[in-house]
Formats: sequence, C-alpha cells, structure tokens
Amino acid sequence: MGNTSSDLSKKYKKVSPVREVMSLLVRNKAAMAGLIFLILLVGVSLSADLLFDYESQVVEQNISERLQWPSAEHLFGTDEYGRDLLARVVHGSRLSLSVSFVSVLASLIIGGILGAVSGYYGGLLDEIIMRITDIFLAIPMTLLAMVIVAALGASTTNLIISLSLSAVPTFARIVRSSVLTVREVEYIEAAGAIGAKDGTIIFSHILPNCIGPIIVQTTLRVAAMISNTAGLSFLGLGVQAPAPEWGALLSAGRNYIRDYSYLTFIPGLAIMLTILALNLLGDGLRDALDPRLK
Amino acid sequence: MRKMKKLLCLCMTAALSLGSLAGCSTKNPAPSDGETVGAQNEESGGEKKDTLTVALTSEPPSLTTCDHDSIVGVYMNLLTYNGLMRVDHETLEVVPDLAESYTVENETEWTFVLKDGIKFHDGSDCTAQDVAASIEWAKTFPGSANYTRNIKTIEAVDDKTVKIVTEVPYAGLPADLAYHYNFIVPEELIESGHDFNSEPVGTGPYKFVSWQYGDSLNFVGFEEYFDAERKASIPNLVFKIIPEGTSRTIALEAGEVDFVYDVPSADVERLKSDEKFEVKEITSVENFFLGINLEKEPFNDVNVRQAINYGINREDVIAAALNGYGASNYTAIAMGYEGDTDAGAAVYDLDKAKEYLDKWGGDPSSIVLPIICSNETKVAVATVIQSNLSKLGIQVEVVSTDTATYFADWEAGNYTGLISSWSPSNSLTYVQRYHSDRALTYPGSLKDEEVDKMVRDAESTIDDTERIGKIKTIVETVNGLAPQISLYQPLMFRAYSADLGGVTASATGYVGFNDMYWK
Amino acid sequence: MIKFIIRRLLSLIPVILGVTFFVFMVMQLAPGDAAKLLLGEGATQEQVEELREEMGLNDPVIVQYVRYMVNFCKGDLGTSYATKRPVADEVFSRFPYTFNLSIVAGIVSILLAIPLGILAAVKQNTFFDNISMVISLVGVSMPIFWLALLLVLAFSLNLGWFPVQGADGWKSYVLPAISLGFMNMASIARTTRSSMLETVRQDYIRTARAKGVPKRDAIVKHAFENALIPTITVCGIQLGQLLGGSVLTETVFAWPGIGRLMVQSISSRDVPMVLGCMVVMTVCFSVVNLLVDLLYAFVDPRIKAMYS
Repeated sequence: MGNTSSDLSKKYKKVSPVREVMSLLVRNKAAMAGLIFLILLVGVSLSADLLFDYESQVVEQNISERLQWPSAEHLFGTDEYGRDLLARVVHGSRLSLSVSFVSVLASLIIGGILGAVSGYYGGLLDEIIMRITDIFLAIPMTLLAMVIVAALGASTTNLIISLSLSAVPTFARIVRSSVLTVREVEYIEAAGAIGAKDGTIIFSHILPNCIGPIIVQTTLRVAAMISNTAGLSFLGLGVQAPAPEWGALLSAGRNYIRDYSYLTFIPGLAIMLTILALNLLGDGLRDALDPRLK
Repeated sequence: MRKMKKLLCLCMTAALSLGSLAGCSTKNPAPSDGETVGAQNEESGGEKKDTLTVALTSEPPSLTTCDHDSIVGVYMNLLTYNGLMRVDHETLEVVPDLAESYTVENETEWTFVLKDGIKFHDGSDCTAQDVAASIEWAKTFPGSANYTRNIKTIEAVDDKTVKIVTEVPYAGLPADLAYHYNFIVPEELIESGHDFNSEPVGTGPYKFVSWQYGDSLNFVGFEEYFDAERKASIPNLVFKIIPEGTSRTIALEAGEVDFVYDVPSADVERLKSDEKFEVKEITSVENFFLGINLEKEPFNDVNVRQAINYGINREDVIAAALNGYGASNYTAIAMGYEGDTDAGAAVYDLDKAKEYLDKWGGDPSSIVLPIICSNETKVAVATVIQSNLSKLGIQVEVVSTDTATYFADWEAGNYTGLISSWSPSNSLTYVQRYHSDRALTYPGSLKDEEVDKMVRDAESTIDDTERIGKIKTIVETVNGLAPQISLYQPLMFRAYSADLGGVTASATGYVGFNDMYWK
Repeated sequence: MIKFIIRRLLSLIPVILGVTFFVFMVMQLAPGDAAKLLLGEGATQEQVEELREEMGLNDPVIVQYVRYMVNFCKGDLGTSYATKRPVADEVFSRFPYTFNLSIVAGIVSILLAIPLGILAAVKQNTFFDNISMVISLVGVSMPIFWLALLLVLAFSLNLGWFPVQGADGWKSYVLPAISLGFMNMASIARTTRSSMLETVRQDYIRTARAKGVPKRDAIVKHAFENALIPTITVCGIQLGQLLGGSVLTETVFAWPGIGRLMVQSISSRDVPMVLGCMVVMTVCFSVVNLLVDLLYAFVDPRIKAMYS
C-alpha cells in the first residue's frame, strides 16, 4: 500500500527532473566544458598508475636531470630533484582530487545526517545541533583546518579530518533547511500516517528531495577544498613531501619562480583549471536545478 | 560552444599575461635598465648612507640574554650585550671581550680583569658587581644549566676584578662565558626586575630603539662603546622580518634591504652574477647527521650502525639534496673547529659496510630504518640514504612530518632514525653531546661510560694543546661507536649590497654588524 | 531594532564559549609538555613538575578551561611559550594590521565588485560582460599565494611600483590588498550579476519599465535594492574568507598581522598564542557576521518589520 504511493512519487519525481536537468545542463556550454574537463581529469587520475610508476617516476630523485625546462622528453620539465613534473602532476591530481572528494563526502555524510535529524525531529535536538553548527560556522574554515592540523600533526589523514570537519556545518544547514521545506508536504505526512519508520521517511522520502542544493554545494565545496589543501601545503601543514599534492608542488616551486617559472605555473594552472571547471559545473547545476529558471 | 572557447581563451590569456609580466626577466637574470629601484636615492644624493637594513628569516622570540635558545635571538643579543668572552667570527677562537685578560690559578680559580671605560646603554658603568650578578642571574634559569653548571661561585673582588671558582677543573669556562645566557646586564636592573625582553640594556655596540612585532626591529649605534675599534660605524640598524626566501632576494634587488641572511640556493647564481651585490659563501659548522635511537633493536649493535655509516655516500647526499652546496663529513665532529679530526672516519666503502653486516650476523633485509624528517631537504637527504642503503639490503622508510611533531617524537624517544643538526661554537661543546647526560633530554643518545670519562677529562684539562689532543681522541673513539652518522655541513649564503664593506660571517652563522661600513 | 541588536549580541556569548572550548580542547592534543617548553632544554624533572603544578597543568582539563575563560574575561590570554610575553599584548599589537588589511581588501573589493556586477548584468552578453566574468572566474580559482607571488614579481621587482614586504604607508597596502581581495571581488561580482539578472526579469521591474520608468531608474531604484540582499550574504561569507586568506597573504608579504603570528606559533608549538589568535579572530568574525545581519535587517523590509 505504502509502496504504491512512493513508487508513484518516485516515478514522477525522478525520471522527468533528471532528464530535464540534464537537458538544461547540456545547453549550458560553460558547465559542459567544466564537466568534460573534470571527466578527463578523473580519467587521468584513475589511470595515473598506468601512465607513471609512483616509486620510480614520481618519488625517486634523479639529480642529473634536475631543473630541465619542458621538452619532448619531459613535457612539463623536471623539478629541483630531477623528477618529471608531468608524472608528479598526474599523480598529484589523484591525491588532490581524492583528498578533496573524501573530505567533502565525509562532511556531506556527517552534515547530512545531522541536518536531516535536526530538521525532521526539531525541538531540543534541533536546537542543540544548530547551536553547535553555529559555533563551527563562527570559525573561518582555513583557520579551523590549521588548528586541527597543528594539534594532530601534519598528515594526509589529519588533513582530511580537518577539512571535512570544517565543511560539516554548511551541509548540516543546507540539508536541514531542505528538510524543513519538505517536512510538511502532504506525501511525507502520508508516509508517516501509514506507519513508515522515521529512518525510511528521512532517507527515502526527504533526502532525495534536497538532492539539488546538495549537489551544487558539493561541487563548489570540492573546489574550495582543493584551494584550501593547497593553502595548507603552502604553510607546511598539508600533505607531506614527497607526495605530489598540487599545492605542495606549487609551494615547492616558489623558490624557483623566477628562473624556472614552469615549476609554479604548471601546478598553479592545474589547480586553477580544476577549480574553474568545478565552479562552472556548480553554477550550471544551480541554474539547471533552480525551479524559477525553468 | 564558441562563447565558451572564447571564455577559456580569455582565462588563459589573463593568467598567462600576469605570468609573463611576472616572469619577463626570468630568462635573462641581468635586470635591464630602469628596473633598478634600489639604493639609488642615496647614491644620487652623494651623501653617505647612515642606515643598514637587514632581512631576517624569522622573528627573534626574545631580546633577553636568558630564556631563549633561538639563533635569531642570539643575533640580536650580540648587538646589545657582551660577555666576558666572545667567539671571534673569523677564527672561531674564544677571545676576551669585556675582559681585558684572565688568569687561572690551581685549575679551578679563574680571575677576570675588566677593560676600562665599559658603559651600559643607560649610562652607568659596568663593574665586576654587574658581571657577578648577571651570571648568578643566568644560573637561575634551567635553560642555562649546560653553560653555568660548572660555575660554583662567582664574586667581585673589586670594581674591575671577578673571581670564578669552578666545581672541577673546567676548560669550557671561557666558551661558556661567551654564551648568550652569560652576557652582562646591569645589576640594578636585575634587582628591579627590569624586562630585558621589551627593553634590552647591555654594553653592546648597538642600543635598542624599537620593536614592531612581526615587522621590524630598530637599533642605533652606541656612542660610548668600550671598544673603539669595534664600535659601530653605521649608526642605524634596521631588521626586517621576511619569512619567504624569494621575497628576501627581491627585497634586496629592489633596494628595500641591504643584507640578507639565508639566500635560497636558487637565487645564489643570479646574485653572484650581478655586480651590485656580493654573496658570501661560508661552510657552516652546522653538522647534519642521521641520528639513530641507540635503544632500538638492531641499531643498539655497533656493527649495524657502522654498516650504515660506511654504506652512505655523502657525495650523493650533497649532490642530490643540496644541489652541491655543501661539504661532506664522515666523522663525529663538524670540520672547521680547532680540534676537529677525521681520524677513524667512516669514508664511504660498500665492502667495509658488508663486512660489518657479516659481523653482526643477522639478515640485512630484516632491518627496517624509518627516518623522520621535518622538511623537504631532510626528506631529500633521507631519500638518498634510502637508495644507498638498499644496496646493502637495508630498508629505509622516509617519514615526513611537521616540525612540532618531529621534536615531540624526538624528545619522547619515539623514533628510530632522524635527520638533525648541531652547531655549537667550539669542539669541546661539540663532543660534550656524546656524554650520557644528553640522553636525559634526548632519549636514544649515546650512553657509554668510557666516553663519559673521556669527556669529563677533556673538560677538566685547562691546557689548550693537551685538551685539543684529548678531544681528538674522543672523536676517534666515537667514530668507532657511530652513535650518529655525520652527513654534511651546508654552505651558507649571505648576500648584501656591494657598497657594504667589512662583512665578516662566521661559520656558526653569526654576522658582525658593528664591523660593517658603507664604502 | 535595539531589541534585535541586543538579542544578537547575547547570542554571541554561547558561540564564543563554544569556540574557545573547542579550540582549547583540540590544542590539548598538541604534542609537547608546556612546562618543559617554557623551561627549556636544561630543566630537571623536578623543575618541570614544579612548574606544572604552579601552572595548574595537573588539574583536570575542564578546570584549566574555566581558569582560562576567567582570565580571558579579565583580558589575560596567558603567556606565550616562545616569547614569554603576555599573549594579549602581542595579539592586540598585531591585530590592527590584519584588521586594516582585511578592511581595505574588503572595501575595495566590494566597491569594485558591485558596479562590475551590475554593469555586467546590464550589458549582458557583451564584451564587457565576458571580460568581467573571466576576471571573476580567474579570481575565484587562482590560488591566493600564487597570485601574491606573481604580483610581487610583476609590480615590485620588474616595475618597482610597490614594496615587496612590510607595512609602512599606503603603498605597502596595495599588493596584499589586491591578492587578498581579488577572490572576494570575483565572488561578489558574480553574485551581484546573477541576482541583478534575476531581479531584472521579475514582473515588477517589467511593469515599471512598461509604465515608462527610464531604464536607469528602474535598475538603480528598483532592481538594485532587491538584488542587494544576496550580495550582502556573500559579502558576509567572504569576510570570513578574508581572515583565513590573510594567513597566506601575510606570509608572502611579510605582513606583521595576526595570521602570520599564528603560522609562526603553530610551528613553534606555542599553544597559548595559537589559542589567543584563534579566539580573537573568531570573535572578530562573529562580530562581522552580526554587522552583516544588522545590515540585512536594514535592507530587507521584511526583517525590519519583524523587529520594529
């Protein structure tokens, strides 16, 4: 009995909006360019191991070939320890992307659950959760990440912990407000009336309805994470050497910025284009998902 | 799609144009005309410059004599204070400073006679009472323990004579008296609880003027300095704190500063080829070594350590990690002191390394050596060690951490290997690190009764030649124990305006600003 | 209105308590023994123990926190491990630099961004629109410290227009403010543009235009005020970014602000100083947010009505 209604709503809700959003997105050239760039980038980072061996090409130093300008042999040149910059940038894409994705995913899950619970149950629980998110929102993101890394020590894991913690409140807020708007809608009340469990209601009925803003925020957050990771690496609090995280590459090249500008230019451009692509895609998604523009 | 392409194109052009504007002089290091902003106003005015601006790498934590262990802090201390003794920048010899002369009676009684006309910055005279009070004061700080422990009593015999009695015959006393904790301040101010951190008052060649936290420190030459020959010739001294290496070099080229500590090696060649600047190259006595936790299996076995010692090619380390800017070191002391020796040095020899491994008898592939590193250079060093030792079948893990964790792990004995360095001002202090006392603060350091005895013996030998001989024996003995594996001593670069004369730079890192003058 | 301000001010208290509590707890995890760090290398075990007792480090953490907060209310933020000076002195001597820089960067970016956004919206799809949006996109995506280094190379070294480092005179503000404010300007311009576009499409503007209100009046009088609300939100968010970004900018430009103090304190394990910097920055950030809220109320008649 309950199934029929939710099946119906699923059918109605899911098929057409997704198609509609996609068709809107495809028409947005900037967003598509961003999407294509990201797909290519993810492809490259997934096949990083096939392209370059981590130990022998990314980490191992080869001093006789240090600081060579880009050439046919080394398309992106070599760094101060004679390592091929292309290999490092390719492997770095995997590191930078995965650190950012994992942090965003972690904060999305934690923030999502907190926000959903808070919005659905309301009352004291809501009050407590929201006051806690207030506190975290009151700390600028970079500083929060810095303090956590300072306390726990600099490592990739701690970096992910601090980055994700800094984004939890935002997601909690978004999910909560989405939940509040759909909570009173009739079909949710109906689901409750026919005895569906709270968990089922939250996960199968409410959350799918706030997916739009979540997707947009996720895209934009990944971009912010990449830039934050780079900043922390610049301060020596990010991913530790010799791991080729993009921010670390950019920061390692800074002493050579005058005579070997490619060492900063290439990782800098990689960071810039990735953030750019994510922003274009995020904007496109926002436009496509905004009901007012349909 | 056309619009998008245009957009991306524009994006790239925007970034590229900024990049090319930024990099337009990158390919030809010699700056073209019209770019020389620096030092022009003084030259055109035809007047002599009366200010020297120096770029520091970091901020001194404190301007007091006591209560800090920072090298930048000591840079500042050397401006405003003097000790009874000082270390000569060129020779690293300990010579009298406030003291005119000193004599030693029956090995434990030292008498120091002060020079004439020593004034403090507040105008008062510096007397033997001030000296005694300052050193008594230094003794109250735990941090000074290593440099005051042997002083049993200190008293002012008259206004100009100080008598120091040591616990045991102790040859390190003159060097200890040149250490910043033992610098001299007015007795009156100690008693009144004066804050020497915010207002240092000493006898030094420069008087403190102001400190803009995080930005700059200002000093002015002290007119009544007791040593006419070493009186400051440039009246105003300004220190700017510039943490970024590239920014320091640019500040020098742009004429914003005249002297730069620690030029990044990437900028050395460019500055050398520019006739407006001089670059002084000094082989530092800072000895970088692979520290090994002697309490960990199997590294408690001397054969394993010797195998590692003989198995590391220092030339590789310098070429790869330092871009060639360093001198290799195979012995348990930094080269450059009186008393250094390479007797018993473990010069790279793979066969010998293998012999030691055979002597140990275990399976080399069972040895895993994690090395903790606190910066990229150390990582590079450890990486070379990794590839060197793999030839012996020993496995090295390079562990990179931040500085804070690095020190915390070290002090907790929570490490197996680490890359570190040590740069005292003389050979006696250097070998004192092999005394088991050190293991209290740094677990995993050497504990060897024989060496302990030898160190104490050398400390108590007042006669210089005899002591130097004993220090050499200690180094040789320690070479046989390989508690730490010396690697290299880096080259230091000090860059400055070519108009600046009288630049001396010591192998311990210090610079004498009072000796400098504008040509 | 006053009731509203008071309520918002009171709501700052639990936030500040929460932030200090969180940061205090996190910093407990930092490696190193405070007493040992203060005493230096030669300290004996007894001396360390004695100082621990004296500093109350053997008390439960929560007691230490309460003590910290009591002292905090008296304006005492503890003593720095590295400099042995009162943390409050140092933090407040550095604070004006960060504050001034952020304000300059903030104001300049807002003053540039809003007209840029409006013009881009009005001249939608023209060359001007494209150029300004490209600049915005570059601004949003360029790592701030890379931009800072490039600015130094271009304008200090090659052109010699502005100093490389330090904080004396207006000239030294130019480059740090640009690198800090660029990202801001970009975000604000983008938001202004899109919210303008949205407002312009709405019925009442069309009605006004149809009734013969000149285009410029329609934009300035009617559209702008309504488009301003999302812009204010973004400005508020961006101010937090400014404080975070100042850490990077200050390092590149050797700016004597609080951000660099914090970086320096982190590497020297100076826990009280890190804590002090965090607390001051957070309080400042919260106050800014409060001001943004008030501005909201001022601009948005619906909120104004609620509290009047």
